[in-house]
Amino acid sequence: MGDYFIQQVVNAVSAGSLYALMAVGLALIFSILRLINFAHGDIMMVAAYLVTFALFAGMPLPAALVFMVVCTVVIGLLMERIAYRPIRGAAEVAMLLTSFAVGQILQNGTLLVSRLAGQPIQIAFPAPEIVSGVVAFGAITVPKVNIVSFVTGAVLLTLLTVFVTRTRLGLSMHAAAEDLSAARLMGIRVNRVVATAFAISSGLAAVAGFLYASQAGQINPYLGFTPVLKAFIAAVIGGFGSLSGAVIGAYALGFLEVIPTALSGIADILPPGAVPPDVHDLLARVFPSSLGSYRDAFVFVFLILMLLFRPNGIVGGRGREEVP
Amino acid sequence: MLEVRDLHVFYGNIRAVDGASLRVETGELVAIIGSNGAGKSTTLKSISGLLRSRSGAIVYDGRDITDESTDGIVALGISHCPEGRRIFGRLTVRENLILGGVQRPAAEARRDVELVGDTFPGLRDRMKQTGGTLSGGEQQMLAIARALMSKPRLLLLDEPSLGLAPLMVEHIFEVIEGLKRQGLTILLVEQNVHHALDAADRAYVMEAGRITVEGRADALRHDPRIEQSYLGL
Repeated sequence: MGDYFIQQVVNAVSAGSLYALMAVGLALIFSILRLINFAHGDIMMVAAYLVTFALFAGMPLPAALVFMVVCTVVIGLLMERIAYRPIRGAAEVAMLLTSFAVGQILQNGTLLVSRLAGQPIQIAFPAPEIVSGVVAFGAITVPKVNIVSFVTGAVLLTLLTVFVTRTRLGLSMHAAAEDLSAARLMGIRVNRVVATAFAISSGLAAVAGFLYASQAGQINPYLGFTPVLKAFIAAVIGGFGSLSGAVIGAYALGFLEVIPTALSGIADILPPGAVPPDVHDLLARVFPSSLGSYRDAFVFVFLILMLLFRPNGIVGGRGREEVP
Repeated sequence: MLEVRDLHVFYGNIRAVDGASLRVETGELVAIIGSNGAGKSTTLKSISGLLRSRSGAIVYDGRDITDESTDGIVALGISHCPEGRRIFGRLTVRENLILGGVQRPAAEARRDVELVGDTFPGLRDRMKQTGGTLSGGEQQMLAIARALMSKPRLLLLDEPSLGLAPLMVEHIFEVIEGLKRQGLTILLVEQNVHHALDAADRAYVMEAGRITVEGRADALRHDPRIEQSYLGL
């Protein structure tokens, strides 16, 4: 019983870590440019392909991961330079549409390369040993990929926090996010700040792509859609544009998703005789085992309630955004 | 040191500056006065590269900086303290100051942050407070201190007294005159004509995007046109 809940908490935290890696990247770009980069999920997808092909080519894992991160960052920088810089400061809807276009290009480009390499649309992900299988802690078994997700998330988010609060480039990012013109008056090179934000965002997406593919077990050119949507929801729940908000929202989302699954069939998990038979029947009726399939509906209902009653998210406060 | 020639700036189709020309010599404190919407702030924003002019030239130390980027202009020694102070409210006072010196070597800028308290005693005990928690006067001090962190040779000051209590206005002008005595060249935009003309060596009056009157500040103080329109005499 207790084990069951610990198991669910572990699932929630590991899902939350993955969402956090994604959501922070999304929030970082949004905070500076007011751009919701929906191509973010496709960047993650490209990273999953890059590491797959690197492993297929026989690269050892560390080299394959470095290759993946470096190439993804370069693609992220190219995306910024070619697609987003020319429309910087344009209407938000123009930037949003551009990000969809970039996503389409990445998806179709990947499809093309994958076909030319003689691969099917769906490829089994060659998950390395470190993220395959489970570890048993007493009665609890935890997939290794969940542990790796949690540890990686914690390390990278800590490094990011140190970077944005302790370095001048990080402070410049803060400044650019808060007041772009004032940041320019300081002599901050805004192009450099934006490029750095895209590099960090893409690097985090690459790591998230590797972890996501390890969990899913297979990859295809369209796998980025669900994660970017989840990251977006996480960022909205937390308070869009705030990095800490994105992290809090991501973990909140991880827990939200686990609740329906954890409650479904709870009646059958209780040890026999723990509750009177009529309570058992009531639990079985209120929380049927099919509840888990309503997971997304549950999350979206929560999202709608958040937008209605706390549109600025958990960390955003109640009022409208302050205009300086 | 600075020369603006026949500057034209538009916001879309709206003409904000319509052929303004002015110059600032080394060591001078020059004021631009005039009513709201006359194009004073727009002129400063064009000098610091925040806005692009449609025609005209901005020359600094004999070098055309009309199309220079804002960070390039800061590197050349021009610092712009904007209207409304534009403090980074979520960052601390120290972080605001560090960003003011972002182009200088980190160690040098950090050392200068510690010296800010000598010129601005009010900021000394506030270093760890976030900018948003300061009073209006303290924020203005911080804005000026931050603009000085890049070690400029020319300071563009936009409406430093706006929205401040009379005592604080006196104090701000003491600071400005102190900076002038230290040899800093200053181009000041002010609606507080009285104080501006007291502090300045020379002044320009701007109306509807054009310079209509120019001259020595002490002469302008007794100019009937100025007395009538701006000094309320």
